[in-house]
Amino acid sequence: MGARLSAAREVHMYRSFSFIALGAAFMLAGTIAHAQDKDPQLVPNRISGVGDSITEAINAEEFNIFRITNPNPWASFSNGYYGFWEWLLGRTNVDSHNQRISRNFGSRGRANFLDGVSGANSTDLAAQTAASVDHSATYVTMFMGHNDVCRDDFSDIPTDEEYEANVRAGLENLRNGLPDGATIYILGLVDIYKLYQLGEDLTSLGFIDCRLIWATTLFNIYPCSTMLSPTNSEADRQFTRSRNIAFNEILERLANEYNANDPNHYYAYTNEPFDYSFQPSEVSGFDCFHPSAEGQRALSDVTWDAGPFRQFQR
Amino acid sequence: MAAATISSTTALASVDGFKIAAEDIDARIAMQVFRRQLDIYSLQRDEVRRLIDERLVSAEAQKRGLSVEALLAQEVKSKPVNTEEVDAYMKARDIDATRRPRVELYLTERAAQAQRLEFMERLRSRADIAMYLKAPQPPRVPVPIDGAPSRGPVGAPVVVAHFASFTDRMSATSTENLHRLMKEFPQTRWVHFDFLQRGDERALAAVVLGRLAKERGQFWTIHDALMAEYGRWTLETIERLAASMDVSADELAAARHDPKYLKSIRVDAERARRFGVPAPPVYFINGRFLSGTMGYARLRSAVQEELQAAQ
Repeated sequence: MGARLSAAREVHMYRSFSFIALGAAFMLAGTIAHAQDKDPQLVPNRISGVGDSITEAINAEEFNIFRITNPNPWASFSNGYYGFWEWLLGRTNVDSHNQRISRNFGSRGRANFLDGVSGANSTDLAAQTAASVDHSATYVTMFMGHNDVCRDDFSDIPTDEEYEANVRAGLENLRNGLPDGATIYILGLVDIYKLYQLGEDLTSLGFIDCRLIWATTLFNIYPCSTMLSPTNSEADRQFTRSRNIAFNEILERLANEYNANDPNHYYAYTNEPFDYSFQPSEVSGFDCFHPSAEGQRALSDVTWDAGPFRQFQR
Repeated sequence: MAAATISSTTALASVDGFKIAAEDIDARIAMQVFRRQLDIYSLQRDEVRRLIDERLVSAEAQKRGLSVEALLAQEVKSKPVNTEEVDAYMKARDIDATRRPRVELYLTERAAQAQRLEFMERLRSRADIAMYLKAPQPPRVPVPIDGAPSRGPVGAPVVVAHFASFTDRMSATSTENLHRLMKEFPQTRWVHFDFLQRGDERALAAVVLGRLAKERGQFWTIHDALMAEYGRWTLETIERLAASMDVSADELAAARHDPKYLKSIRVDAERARRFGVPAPPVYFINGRFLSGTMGYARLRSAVQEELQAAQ
């Protein structure tokens, strides 16, 4: 696994210099000591971030006024990086999973693939995980489902069975295609109701008129009508939240099931993104909904500290 | 747990005997501190609300001699699917029959949620609830206005610093609001700051033109022309406006690469970042932050408060 595969979404990282400490102390012949009766766990040196606009860090810090969705890949909790341009322009160092991997496992054989795409939902998981397999990823973060909950109409939200089938299709690709010893880290969906509540706070405090921005959901300009549309009742929003919770339960169950039954790979789940209370400074000042760079940093903190490599804390 | 308070004169550090006090740094980080205070307030408020609801439910359960679970089961009853309601919903939205299970789930779940919300609202309306927790107030940020283009009376009791972009729709709207404000409150001073975003070459061209115009005492003519033509002006418009000030196309092209102008633009960008401007437009009304996305009523109200305070 020496050469990096060419991929549309490989995120550069080698222009960074002294900001990333190059430590090879934990490279134990490319594997990590593990007590479980599975293939030896591989070092997560090839990371693939699967998911949606949160993984792409949409609108986290920089906004191009010509687009509603602006990827800010340096600010991704999963694949983010901090190099020369980020330093020059004073961008936030989110200390992503990718950065922590370099710090803890060194830069040898590193690759960083941001396979998540804004607007993707669970039906896109199979294609994204196929890309993870193509990259020979040894560590996959899976953060998918926000756009299953966030839809134009309530009838567009998939049933539990449909969502589960889509997630299984994605996981099957990983089970059948990733190198033995790879780790799949499944993240529970963010509590999008809390993000809606924060938007109300930001409006009332004069930071930004979120209601004005959210009103564009009525014209399908801005996504997540099922939470943000001004025509929604509180009961509607609570229904959407109940789907949010139900999908997380499915993700957790599947993570446990695959971890128990797949002897070749490691699966972990965390509900931290849902449990975490995003605060006003952690929500995008552009769209009042996506995590800001500060929010991405918080996501990186809580998910790494609960994750399969949490013992690596350099 | 309340944060430790530091008086403005408390020394935070010293260098070769020179003391750096809290008041020396407060203004520079005021907005950033305010955002953190907001975070703490938001956490505390949400937790207080949760505990209030918990207490109300627990008290009601005790009153009825039930467990909390039994009480909630009693109040929030799942009803069977109403076929007619599902049919009507699907027909009204022209939803494909294959999606019927989704619609059934939505309507039954929503009904259960509505019951739960009504129950909580009943409990809250019967209780004597007082919230003592107060939101932190936005600080006054001393935006340095010397040298920036301004209009309105010198020494005005209200100064509105406007961070805006010539290519941003909301900036065009906030500019209209400021024109309206100046008519209604002629004792207001309006100061302009540019806010640029990555890759916005058109805005950069406009900003440089603005710098050239300021040197010729014609900034506001150019500013008003560009904002009024939001969405329609092009680089040709920039050239035409430059020509109207006797600035040749070559001079204009050279200015766009002139370090003098680029450095001053960078200073504005640094200032905006330090004062916590996330995106244009933003007003600072006598130093108090208000997003430019807020409507005229909010802007007007903020200015009136400042005028009253000044009397």
